[in-house]
Amino acid sequence: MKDAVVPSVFIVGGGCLAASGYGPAQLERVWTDSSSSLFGKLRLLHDFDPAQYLTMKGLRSLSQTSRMCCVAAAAALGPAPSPDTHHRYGVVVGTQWGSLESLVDFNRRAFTEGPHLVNPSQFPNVIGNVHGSYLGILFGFGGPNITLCGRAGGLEAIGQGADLVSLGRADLVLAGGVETIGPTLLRGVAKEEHDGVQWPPGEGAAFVLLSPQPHPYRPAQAQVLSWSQSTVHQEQNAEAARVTIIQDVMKRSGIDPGIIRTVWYAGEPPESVVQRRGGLSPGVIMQTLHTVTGNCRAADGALAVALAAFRMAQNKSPVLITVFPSYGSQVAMLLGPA
Amino acid sequence: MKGVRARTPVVTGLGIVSPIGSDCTAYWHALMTGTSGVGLVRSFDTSRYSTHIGCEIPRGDYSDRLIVGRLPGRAALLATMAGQQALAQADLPQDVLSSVGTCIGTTMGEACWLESWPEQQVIAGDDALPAEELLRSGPDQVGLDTARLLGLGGPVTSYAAACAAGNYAIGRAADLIRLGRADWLIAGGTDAFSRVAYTGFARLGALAKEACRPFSADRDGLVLGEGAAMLVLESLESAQARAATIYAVVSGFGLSCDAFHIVSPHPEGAGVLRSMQAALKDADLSPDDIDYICAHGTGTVAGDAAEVAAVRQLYGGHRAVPMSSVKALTGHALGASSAMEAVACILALNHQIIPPTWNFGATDSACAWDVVPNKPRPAPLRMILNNANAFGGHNATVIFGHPQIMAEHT
Repeated sequence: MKDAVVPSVFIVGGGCLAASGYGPAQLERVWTDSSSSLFGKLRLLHDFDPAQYLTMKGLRSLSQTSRMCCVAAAAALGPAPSPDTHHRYGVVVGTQWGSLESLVDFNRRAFTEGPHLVNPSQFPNVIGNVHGSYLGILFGFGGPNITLCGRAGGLEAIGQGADLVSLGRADLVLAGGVETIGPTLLRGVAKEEHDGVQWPPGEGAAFVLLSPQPHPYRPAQAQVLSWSQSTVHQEQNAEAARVTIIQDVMKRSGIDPGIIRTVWYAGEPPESVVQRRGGLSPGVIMQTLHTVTGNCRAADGALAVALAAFRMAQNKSPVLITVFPSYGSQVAMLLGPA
Repeated sequence: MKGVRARTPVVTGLGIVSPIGSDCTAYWHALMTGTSGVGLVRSFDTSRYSTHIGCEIPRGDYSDRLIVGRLPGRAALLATMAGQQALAQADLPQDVLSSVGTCIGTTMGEACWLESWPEQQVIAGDDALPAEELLRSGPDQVGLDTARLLGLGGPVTSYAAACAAGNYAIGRAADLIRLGRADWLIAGGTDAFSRVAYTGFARLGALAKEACRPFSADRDGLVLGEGAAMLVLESLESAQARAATIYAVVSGFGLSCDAFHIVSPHPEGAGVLRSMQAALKDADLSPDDIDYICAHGTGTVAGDAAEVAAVRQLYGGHRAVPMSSVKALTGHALGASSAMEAVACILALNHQIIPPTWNFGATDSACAWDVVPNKPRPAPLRMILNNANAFGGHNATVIFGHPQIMAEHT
């Protein structure tokens, strides 16, 4: 199956935040210098204060998830986001559990204080799309505003953002992922080995700016060449779905998979049989950010895109990014030089 | 032909589970006769709330239809029931089910898990909570469980788009077909009756005391509801090749964000207007091509006024296209609502009757428009615009065309 519409989609900005660093440059430094002594520790943003990164009014009542979105988005936008509302600028946010800790807290307050006394200003934080809403309000983006959910949500969000640009639904799209993990979720993760991956839980947010052309004052870092997704249900063999995704991504891009030198993966690494049947070279280098960010779930794919786009300024070869959780949506994306 | 293009997405199956009917026939009959689903809330104690009404699907009404498997949450269960109807109607070949994609929208996900935690356990703190249940509460689990229960193996996308979630899912499914990324999808919205949502809307002063009265001068809020509605979408070429019955064309899709306030709509409906304009542009239609607007029309003072203000601007005062809200009967099923209204739109196209705004009393100058009060209206319907306006200022509009426009096209 070939894309009906395949115009270019450029990445013209990127910002990220994780316990191991702020911004792609710092993340790259930490990743390059990572040592085994960091291994196995939680990668949570304790005492996170957005004022450390961002001078912006209206952040006080936001949840940690929304605040992290704002910090990463502001970094992607650069130093001078316009206060005017841009009706053709869109937002796509991917998250798996972004509002669940707020939901737990709201539920508890309703029990302890009584449903007639619970603070109504906390209710918006319960709703899943609130993080995208705040990005729209605070940055004046009045175009499409989408929140999608899942372990691969960040990478899928960037893919859907690219589709918005391809279809002409938006002129600029802020797309990425966010994940925070509060005490209840952390306890839940500890009780249920959910992902089949031994990386410690982490928190993070990353956004990239997608545009149909290099912007006059936002040089292009990379191009989204293609992306694809599939789904693996629990207790289903994932290999076939993953092979199909990689083959589909390469087919859509028109690029020979044999020239891919680097794969950034999150979740499970593509198995050797998947690499082989997907046409990847035996010498392909498999890299992951999990070593420095922990398992940031929906943010993982977006963190990888932000870093890969940043590095592509020096390293001009295409990079394949995969987010393959043990079950659920599986997403792969191919980035190329601008 | 306007509203038709290559790989035009068409609807070949629809299903619904709602407080006023758990299939399309019962739902349409209720819309035509004014049968309301509003009643006293039964699923939890409302004695400490200032309002006590809701639109619930009777518990137990569905359990005999459960598919054997790992227990899903109620939102996925409702979506599965609606999906079964839609798939049966579409009569897709068995060998394509493994590639049918799922796009689903929800507001609360599976909040049922958390809401089932006993009060003592919640107050006692994290140590006492079955926290692992929370991992199955997200919207993504709704999509995954629904697809699994329906036996669908294609890509699953789950949207958290509050009260516009159904339209987001349907619009995205249409885009996937246009882009050549999928050949068959099931798309819609679902939400189960939620105590957390009820609490939140109650504290925001958004719940009606006695009834939902969209656009009426005496409206005082929404009535929280629940339900699910799903559509089967495929390309026109695919539907024609297998001689499938086409119920509607998905002619246009538009999205916007108010970028104004987290809970209040833009008072002039600026975001709603942009969403409608984007959908019209997508469909290559003008406002005059629209024969009926299925309004979001929740019955809140600010929301209804903003939507009418947007529609007034769209038409510039030269025409009052009929617009109605079905929420007086169904309540507001949050993420399911716009998908349920999509079913109403498609049934309206096929019956050539506009479902009215029931419970309409006196005209409010802020909502002065032809809202088709209290009586179904036969009308020639070719293009229907379905609005959805969500918490956070998210707006989504889908335009459905009568299947006849394809016959004219071919």
